[in-house]
Amino acid sequence: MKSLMFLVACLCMPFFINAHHSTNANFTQEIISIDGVIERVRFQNPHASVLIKNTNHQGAETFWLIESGARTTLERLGISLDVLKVGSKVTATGRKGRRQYTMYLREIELADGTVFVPQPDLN
Amino acid sequence: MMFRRLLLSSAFSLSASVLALPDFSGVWMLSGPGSESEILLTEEGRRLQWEYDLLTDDPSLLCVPASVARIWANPNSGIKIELSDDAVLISYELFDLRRKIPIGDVSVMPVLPSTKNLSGTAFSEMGSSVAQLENGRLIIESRNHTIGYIRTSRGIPQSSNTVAFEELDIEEGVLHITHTYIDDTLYEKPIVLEYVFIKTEESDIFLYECSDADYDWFNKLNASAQELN
Repeated sequence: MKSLMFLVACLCMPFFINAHHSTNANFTQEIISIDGVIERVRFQNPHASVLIKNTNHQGAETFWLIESGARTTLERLGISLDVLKVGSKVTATGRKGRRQYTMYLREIELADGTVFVPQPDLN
Repeated sequence: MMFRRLLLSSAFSLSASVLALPDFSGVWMLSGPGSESEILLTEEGRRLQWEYDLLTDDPSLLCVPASVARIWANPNSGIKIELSDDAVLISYELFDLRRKIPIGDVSVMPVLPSTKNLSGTAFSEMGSSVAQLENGRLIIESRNHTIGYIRTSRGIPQSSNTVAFEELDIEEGVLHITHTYIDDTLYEKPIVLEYVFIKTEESDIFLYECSDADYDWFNKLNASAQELN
């Protein structure tokens, strides 16, 4: 029964992704994680997003745009991005974007270990 | 007296025809991924598809509807239908679009686009439309499209030759919409898309207030960072 439910969840998953621009086409299925410091949080349509600055071991900086669902979609789920504070260290995990340095957010782990999952249906 | 009786009689038959209709009114939400017929493009259709780059050419990036079919097929986004005796108003949460469609035959087809956003910008990608009520179904015919994409993920194009029909039907409280796209310059055979919508308990749609999703600022940010690195 559990495996049947998992199969149904997998089949439904792509549909639940909010898609102002086609999410399945704009993001690959590859799951990646990026750590860094939050530079900007935007709670808006068509996509809420978090801008993260990643600094590698050599000190080189790269900005990552971590996209999520539309503001209206998140509002219907009762989700806000208030827990994501500019300047805080986080690790974001999600689907790697076809555009360089972009990701579709699955979850963000905060410095205190709290994991924020904006759209649980996607996981 | 005779004229008054005639007037009352036509008013009654019009009301009766509207009353006999299923209740299209309300806020609807897409349910499930829908289905599509086989898509066979002509040489010109394939050329337009080949030229399309989804990362730069998707009109949605600029808060512009790519086509009627694309706007209906947006998950988690309310669509409000209001039906009166002479018009259908469809309000799409996505991009705050308002589509006012007169009821009648093709003679009442407007020349200008039927769809505007709340700022008053008209979108010819959505065409000009007219609606008819037939056997409990609402049928919308659209023409006068400009270039757009009925599938933005794969760049399935539409053109000024495209004629689109939307058939709305309600079965057991569920709204079924069948889109038929006809354009012999682009499609070897009509493209048929089917979607199902569930009525929500919401009485109105959310304000969308779309912000352009262009990535230029982000690309420039990384370009500057890489110069410094």
